[in-house]
Amino acid sequence: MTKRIYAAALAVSMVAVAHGATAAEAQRPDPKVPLAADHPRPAPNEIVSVPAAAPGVFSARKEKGGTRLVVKGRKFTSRAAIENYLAYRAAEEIIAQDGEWFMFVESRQPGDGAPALTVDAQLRSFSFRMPNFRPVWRYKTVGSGDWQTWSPFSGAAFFGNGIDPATVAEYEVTATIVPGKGLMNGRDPLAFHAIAVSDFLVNQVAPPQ
Amino acid sequence: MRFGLVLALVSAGIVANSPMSRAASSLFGERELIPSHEDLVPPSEAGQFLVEPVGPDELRLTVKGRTFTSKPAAEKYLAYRAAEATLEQRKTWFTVDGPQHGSDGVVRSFRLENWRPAWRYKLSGAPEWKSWAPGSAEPFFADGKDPKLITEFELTAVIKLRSGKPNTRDPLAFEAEPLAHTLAPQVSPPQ
Amino acid sequence: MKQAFLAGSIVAALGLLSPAAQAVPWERGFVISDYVFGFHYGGRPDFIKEGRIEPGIDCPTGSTKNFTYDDGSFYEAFKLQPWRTEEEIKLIMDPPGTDVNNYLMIRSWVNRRAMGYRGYAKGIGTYVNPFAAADPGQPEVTGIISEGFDLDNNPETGGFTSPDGQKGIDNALYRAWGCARPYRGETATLNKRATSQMLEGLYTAVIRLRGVQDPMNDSDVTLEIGYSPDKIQKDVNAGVARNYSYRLFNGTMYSKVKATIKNGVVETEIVDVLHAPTYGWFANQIVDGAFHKGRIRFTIDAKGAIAGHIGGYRDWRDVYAANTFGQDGAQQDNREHKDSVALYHALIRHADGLRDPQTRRKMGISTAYRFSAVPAQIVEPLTPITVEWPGNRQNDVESGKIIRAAFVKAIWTRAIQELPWQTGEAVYPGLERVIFDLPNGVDLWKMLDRPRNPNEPDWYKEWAEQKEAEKKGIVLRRRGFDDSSRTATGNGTN
Repeated sequence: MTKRIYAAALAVSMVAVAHGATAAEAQRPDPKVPLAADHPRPAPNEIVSVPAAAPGVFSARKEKGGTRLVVKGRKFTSRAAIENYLAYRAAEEIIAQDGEWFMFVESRQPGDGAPALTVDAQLRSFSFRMPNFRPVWRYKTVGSGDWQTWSPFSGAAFFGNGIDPATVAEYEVTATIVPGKGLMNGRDPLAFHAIAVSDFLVNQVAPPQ
Repeated sequence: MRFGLVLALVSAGIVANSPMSRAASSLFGERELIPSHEDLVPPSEAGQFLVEPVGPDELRLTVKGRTFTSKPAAEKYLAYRAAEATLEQRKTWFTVDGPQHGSDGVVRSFRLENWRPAWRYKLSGAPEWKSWAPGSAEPFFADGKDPKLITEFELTAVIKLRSGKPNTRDPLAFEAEPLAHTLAPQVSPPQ
Repeated sequence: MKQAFLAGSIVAALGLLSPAAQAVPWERGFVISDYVFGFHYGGRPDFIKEGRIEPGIDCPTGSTKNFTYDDGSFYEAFKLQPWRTEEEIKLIMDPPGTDVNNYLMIRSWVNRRAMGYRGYAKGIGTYVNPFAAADPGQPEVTGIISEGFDLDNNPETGGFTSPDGQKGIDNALYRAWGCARPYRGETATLNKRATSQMLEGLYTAVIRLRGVQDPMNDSDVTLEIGYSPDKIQKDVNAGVARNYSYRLFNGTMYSKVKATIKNGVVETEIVDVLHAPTYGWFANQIVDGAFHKGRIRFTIDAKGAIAGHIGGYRDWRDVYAANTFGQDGAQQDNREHKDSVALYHALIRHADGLRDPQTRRKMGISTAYRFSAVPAQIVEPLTPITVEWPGNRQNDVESGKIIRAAFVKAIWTRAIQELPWQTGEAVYPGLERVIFDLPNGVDLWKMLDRPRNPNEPDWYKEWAEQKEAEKKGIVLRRRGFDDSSRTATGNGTN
């Protein structure tokens, strides 16, 4: 039945074409679903960014084993807030260099107690695993001229030495990263995808004071 | 260690039917979780697959069976074993002799249409072996026959082992790893 | 006898003509009968590992098992939110009140509400703002064999070899998503659903070839691909019937390209953007695939049916949107055992094309879709035609447009977008209609709190009124999944 109707339709449409009508003219408008690229680009002020840090808060220096990143501050807020800011800057550093990802270099020392990282048992790949971004700290407390250091690999708890973080007068948080480009091995627990890290943290971080 | 043993067996012309030594373990032990292609393929029975050295870096591979299913099934299994034998010898690719087909200008790791083993077979009620060669004018011996009439068959190919980057322009070249990966989910030793 | 002689004479006469003089215009049509991601399967029925679903050379740990009750995957997903306590996770996974009517359905609503809010802070709708959630991780294809095309014409890149040996295959979407359960192997539930929906009339895609030499060998072929408003005709075996007629709509999902045929292998030219329908199981997913550096290749078999691939770089935002917002993301992830947040991150990592000159981000991902099709008559429309959705599917499409717009804005601005309340993505108010049935429903509901729709009623009051009414034998509102107050997706209509 349907076939017969369309056979007739074909015959008539061929007549229509013969009379100068095109198939396009014979069609109704397309109720188009806009694709991602069809949406308007946001204005620059709609794009979220992190305010610039004061001079001296962040530094990046190329060294033999990678790029050494340091965040310095005087007002301790929380470990997560400051480390996230460092991670965000690490990602931005990579993006600025036209890289795509970085490897976090663990600064383990002989005798450190923190267990080594292993591959995920389900062999999953990740854009980042923030708990594996573990920079090293040093800080001075009010009234003391000596730097105290804390390594996340030592096995000791953060400020587990009895010092009250509220007494911190100055701190430095340091990480070394190795930039990468091309397909990232997301199975590596120390691999961080720059865009993913930046997007994840951009709404969460602010430059330390 | 294991590689050395396998090599020694092959050199002595003894059946080599052991799984390939695993690739060197990589970072964080992920290799332990990734099956190798030979984990997928059911093992063959003793004497069913033969490897004989016939020259420097040249092997004759033979697969024997009693239940004929299809020409591609048996030939693909032999191709899989050829890829495996190549990797076992720490080589990356192999070549075969024969007429070239499929030079379509595309860069290929392998062209299975150029994998053309020689066959011999016995038919029910006839004790003597008969041969079929891929270049012969005769149609494939099993075409149009009841497979149950074929009581025994063997197919053989000679491969030359090669190292380094494969010559992907050579229609008679077969890159072992992609060939093994392609065939491992498909092939089984003939019964 | 005389006729046979005449026919013989004509054949003989044709044989004497030169090839150019033999040129006879021909036309072949096809209706697509199967259409899915071109994901190469590397498992085999006799390769089994305990605790893994169809492990293979492609996916060593098998297909994904996200949001499976008995293996801790719910817990893993929820513990990534630093603001959830262990106690809260326990309550979400196993809310007290197992003896309550429809407990499993209520639990599913609770789970889905929590799944829908997995951001770095409370109240962030995850599926519209996936970048704001920690990556739950996605097993990727570790195999080296893939279907598809060498899109960048470089055999050294892409990292895959095709099953017929071609080097340099670019199919990053396969590497990223090829282990996701609903698209892989025997458990490819969404692929099966898509095919079944297509056969039930959700959409129809057609191909037309026109040449001047020989349908199996022709150097001058025109190929058209597009949407047809005519429902697929099934045969008695529930397959696709051959040789029915379909009108071809040359709207946004339509392309007309040059092609060649060599020994039955049809290969199109490479075009900047190849417009063609994509596959899906809801109307809002059937959109223009917009394959950049697009091309089609297929083989014509002895019976005239075809099988092959359509490929190119797709904007990964479109791939994500179609596969997340068919229904609400949580409903689909929960049922299909995938995690769209993990799949989002996999897209980010594997994007390999369409670099945006302003942001310098790669917005494209290489891919190939696999299809097969049977012979059909492709005809010109007699009267004006357009895209037509069965039933009330236009609601799905409108809802899909709103969600997509919010998602695209989120990705482009990195500003957290509010969930569009009028869509199913808000997983609301289905939960509000049932949660107070639980003994600790009020507390649980508060724990699952999220930003409020400005016009939200007092849900607890409504629920209490209904309970009172039910005691008197009056049903005020149909409860549960059915919610006619919403024009959203997520209503389980197919």
